[in-house]
Amino acid sequence: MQTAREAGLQACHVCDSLSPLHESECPRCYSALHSRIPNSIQRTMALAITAAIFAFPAHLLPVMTTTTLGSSHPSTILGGVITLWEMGSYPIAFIIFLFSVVVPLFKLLALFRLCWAATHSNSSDAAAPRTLLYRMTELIGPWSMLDIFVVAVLVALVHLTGVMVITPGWATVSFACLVVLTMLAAENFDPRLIWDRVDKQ
Amino acid sequence: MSEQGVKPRIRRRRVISGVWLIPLFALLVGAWFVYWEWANRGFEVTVQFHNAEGIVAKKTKLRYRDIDVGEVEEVVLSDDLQSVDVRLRVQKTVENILREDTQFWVVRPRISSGGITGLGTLLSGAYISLSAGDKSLKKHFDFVGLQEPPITPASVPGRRVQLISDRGDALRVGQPIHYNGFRVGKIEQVNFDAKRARLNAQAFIESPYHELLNSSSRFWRTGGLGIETDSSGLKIRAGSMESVVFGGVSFGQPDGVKIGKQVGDNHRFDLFPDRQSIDINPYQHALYYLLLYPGSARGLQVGASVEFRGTRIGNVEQVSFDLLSSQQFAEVTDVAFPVPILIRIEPARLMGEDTEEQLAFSKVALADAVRKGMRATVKQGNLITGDYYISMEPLAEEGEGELHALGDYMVMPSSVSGLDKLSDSAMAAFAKIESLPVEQTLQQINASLVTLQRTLWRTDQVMEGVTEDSPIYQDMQQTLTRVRGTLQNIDQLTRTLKNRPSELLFSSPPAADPIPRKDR
Repeated sequence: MQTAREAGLQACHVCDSLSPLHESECPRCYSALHSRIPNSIQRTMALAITAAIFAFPAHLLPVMTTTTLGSSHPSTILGGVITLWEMGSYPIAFIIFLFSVVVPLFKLLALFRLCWAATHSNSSDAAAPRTLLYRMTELIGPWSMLDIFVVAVLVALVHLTGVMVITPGWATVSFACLVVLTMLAAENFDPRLIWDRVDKQ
Repeated sequence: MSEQGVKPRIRRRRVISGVWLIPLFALLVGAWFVYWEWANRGFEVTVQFHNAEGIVAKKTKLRYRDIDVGEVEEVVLSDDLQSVDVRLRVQKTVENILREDTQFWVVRPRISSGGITGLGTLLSGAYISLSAGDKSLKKHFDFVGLQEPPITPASVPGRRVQLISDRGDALRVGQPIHYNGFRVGKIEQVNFDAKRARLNAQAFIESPYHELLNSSSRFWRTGGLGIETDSSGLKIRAGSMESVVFGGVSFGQPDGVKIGKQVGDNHRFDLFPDRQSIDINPYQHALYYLLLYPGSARGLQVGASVEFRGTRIGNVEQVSFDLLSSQQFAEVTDVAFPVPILIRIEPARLMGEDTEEQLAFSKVALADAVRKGMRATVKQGNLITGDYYISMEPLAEEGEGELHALGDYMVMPSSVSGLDKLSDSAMAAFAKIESLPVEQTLQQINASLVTLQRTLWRTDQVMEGVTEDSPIYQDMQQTLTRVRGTLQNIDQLTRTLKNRPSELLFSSPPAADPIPRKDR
């Protein structure tokens, strides 16, 4: 299969108009033109690593602190999942576990896997599933913000001074950063690199 | 647009993208965060409690001024299974207040006379609280927790003093302390010392009132109602409403006692049952002496005064043979069967301040006085009521004397008083009277009386014959009438003779007729 680059063309990132390879600016919208996202792998890796760093405080620090009549109980994401599970709310526990723990972790692993594949793997058979992996990573991006939504709603709703107050913890910020960073990392990954490598052979 | 006209802009692409600064930054922030957490992770403090009621590991908080400053990390039994060791993770910020005298206690709901406290813990669960320690003391990380929360935090300025009472009368934590009716503090702790059977209480006097305290201050119980009946009627005493309801303690300066030195923390004061008992005995520092009195101690009451040349300097503490053991009695050789009398001398009554130094000085002075011949004697103060007192006077005839120790007491030499001597000679006189032959004399008098009676009886019989109807009586009557007539004549004669002695020889001329006088 012939790629745009082989045909001496490159697409604008913004308006998708095709220009010859030697053009540095899009003749239509004047944005910078690149045949591939520059430093795609480095950017993806850097952002993914940052996201991985944020994963620690996100899961270790309390996501919110419930203050009931003078006694405060900090709770972490995993702690909340365990509490829900013990209370018998299996579906909710499962959903929170899925979107707060599994999905971000899956996304991070997927990004590392893609970056590795784009630089090391030469197998042409694996190229198509990897593209699928990339599509999934991109698709589920915003969904893992569920936790943040829950905390935001609780903090806003439960504010009975003296009786019960919920305050967000540092894990909320970390978790938000984790999710945003994985989304940016996925954005910066150029899936064409997977195919470039296969085609080179 | 020709291809030649376009000059390609050639930019050298860096091998390492600037995007790596992001994870680097995140790492740095993370590392700093971890370091910060580690640096402020606090330190471990172990507090020993009697039990762990309401204390939950990882949940119970340590609070200082109602702010969380730590958390219980672990609750374990102590090695000897007698108490509970609570390990606390305490924030670094409060490290400065953890000193040797820092107090820890568990805050639970509590109802006492001081009010209801810790209501918030009904729902939130107990927490551990602490008080700030004295900055001058060393830092400390191992504590024994209090059973009860302290009534006043250690940081409140004031003075803590000990009150000791032999009566063990129900003093309770939280009871107020008054000075002239003003509330100046409260009772913080009450312990009963079973060994010595007395009450130890800790009282806290708030600043600035603690300056009213001095070494000659006295504490007494107030409160309740005091009802007394005596010959003067019914007396009812009552303090303020608060002290009537809650009882309490007052302190003040006894009348006539000079203000002493300032006292430090934990100074011991005796707690007196009431104000009256202080007025009776306003001095705290006293010397005790034992008298081995050779005379009679009859009429000498406990509390009787001890006087020095008529000035009261103390009182009689005890008159009892129990003061000495039989062994000690055996040691006394110079006096036969002495009566042990314990006297209490308060030097401050005579002069100077009520202090230890004054006491030491007086001790020496007394020993000196005894050496110069001062003796204690029992004297009668009031002849009618039979009140006795002990008088200490220099008796010249006694010569030199010396104080000496006997058992726990110092023995002051004593001698029999003048009155005792007088009564002794009176006794001797009575003995002589007793030896007189009273019986014999009485018998003779009796015999004489019988004779007298007989004589009188005879006379009576003689007189019985003389009645109004008897001829003797009639004769006597006639005789007497005649005698009276004769006597009248004689009377007349003598009167005439008195006026005119010549009458016997010459008859008197007839008297001139009286001439009436004219009115003036």
